Amino acid sequence: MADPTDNAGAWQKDLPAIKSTWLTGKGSDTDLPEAVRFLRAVRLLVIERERLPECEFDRAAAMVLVSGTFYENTQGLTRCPFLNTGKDPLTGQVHYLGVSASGRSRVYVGGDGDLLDALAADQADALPTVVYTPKKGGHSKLSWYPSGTRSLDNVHVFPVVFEEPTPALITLAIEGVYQGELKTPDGVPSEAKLWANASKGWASDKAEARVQRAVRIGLHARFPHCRIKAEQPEKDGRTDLEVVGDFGVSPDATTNFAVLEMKVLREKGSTGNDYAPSTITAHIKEGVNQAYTYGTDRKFRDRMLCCFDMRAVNEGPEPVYSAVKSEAETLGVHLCFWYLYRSSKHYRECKTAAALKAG
Amino acid sequence: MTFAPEQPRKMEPELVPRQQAVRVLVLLDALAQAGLVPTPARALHELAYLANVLSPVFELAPFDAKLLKRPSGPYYPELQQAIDHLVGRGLVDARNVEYRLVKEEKRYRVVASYRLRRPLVQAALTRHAQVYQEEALFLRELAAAYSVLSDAQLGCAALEDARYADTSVDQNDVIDFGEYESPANNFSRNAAMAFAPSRQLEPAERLYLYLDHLGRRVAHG
Repeated sequence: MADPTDNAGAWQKDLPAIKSTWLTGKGSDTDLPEAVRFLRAVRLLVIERERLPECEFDRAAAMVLVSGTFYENTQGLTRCPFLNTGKDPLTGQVHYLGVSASGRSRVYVGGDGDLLDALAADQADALPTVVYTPKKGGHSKLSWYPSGTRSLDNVHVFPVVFEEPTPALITLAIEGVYQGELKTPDGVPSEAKLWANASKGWASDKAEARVQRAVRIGLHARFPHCRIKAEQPEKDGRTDLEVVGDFGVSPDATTNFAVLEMKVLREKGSTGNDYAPSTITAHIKEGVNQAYTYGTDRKFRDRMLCCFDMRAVNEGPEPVYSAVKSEAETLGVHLCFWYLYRSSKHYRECKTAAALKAG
Repeated sequence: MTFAPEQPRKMEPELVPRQQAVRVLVLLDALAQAGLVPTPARALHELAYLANVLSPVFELAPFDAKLLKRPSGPYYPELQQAIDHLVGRGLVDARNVEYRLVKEEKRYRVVASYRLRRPLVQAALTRHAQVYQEEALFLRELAAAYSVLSDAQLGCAALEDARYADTSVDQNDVIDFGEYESPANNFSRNAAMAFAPSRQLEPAERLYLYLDHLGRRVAHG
């Protein structure tokens, strides 16, 4: 049967160009939370703009995530269809945008204080906002206010740079996710809970999938120029997470940066069933094998095994990885480790005990 | 590559007007989310057309798999009738309404801009998005991708569309991409699926690539 994609009607002559199109990444992240998509699109947009020699570094700008209702109720905004390509100036304006960083803009007059006033005047100071503070020489900053500029204390700052996803930076990104969401169960919504019964140490049967999703979102936020793929099946098995650089490059210049194998180490299952230490050791060993095999078969630059320890005692990475350390070094698999506490109280107790032990 | 074309939706005749009305509301909502508000009538008809040809990219059935090829671009009389009824019922605001002669077609067409009367329709839109999640996502992403067209391009970009511009159908003949003819003749869908053949792309990614390419064709031919 003929391939129907070879019949493109009026675009038939365009097919070679279509098939070799450079990917932009737009629309590749529809399963992520809106705020993550927005932040990612804004970072890409600013990186794109700063690549151009005509880029302005004069004044701050704000990018606000809004809904259709905002556009309907706000007068005097100008539509900027090319904004999310990086072709339009950003500074000295407030941009009211959707998740893909397209929307409408307004010029503001004055300095940083006037920018905040302009947001308040548009009743946008409680909406998720990125404030772009440009500075030549790669020193620009993006300040992310998830609750709007009305809550100036709730801010996360990101640099405007293209960061290559090395194992060190990937580890840093996961550390951010760990500190913010995974370390203790406090404040975690029910659909993201890692514990079936935290006080008894029973891990949820969805713990691995939930850790994977949280890490995936964190990697998306840290490396907006990369495709973060989950659960990619091949003959050798199914990878957990892949970090691939295929946006903004020709199809033959795609870089497979890193493959991540995620393992949750549990001694109690979701119904209280026991996992023997030998089973856990075998699980870790299997993780090394998987990371190595996927990494070599699929030509990834780096291979990582990320273990999230849900057991009662935090022994630290050294004893946990002792059985596979030499093997992992030989195979070029980076070993990373995070310990998941059962409660904030458990965390405090462990921290105090560690300090006392250290003297 | 496997090809599982979606057949157009079969609708009970008495329900068609109601479904057309819902269609108008969800299209206007998607356009509003993309900042295209108030929405020119031409853009609304054009997005309805693009939604029909590109819905198989999301494995959704087209709302309507045929239309008359007009020299001035896509126009659905039933959709316009639904808009007029919604305006009459006070659910949609119309601005700058006039009837303008389309010389090539020797007929008058409504020129107006529309916006939802949000407080009256939001509950229905929310419910619709809950029930038809995939369709809501598709239309939202399509409208966002469509919003990269300049104001001058809105409403006439489809004249360069892979299916609409195909010369196998003459002006004033019916473009059929699945009603009676094979859905394999949906060249727009075919082109969207042809991007980066060796890679597994998300459906929404194909919409953005398609609309980017359409925009380039409109700008540069």
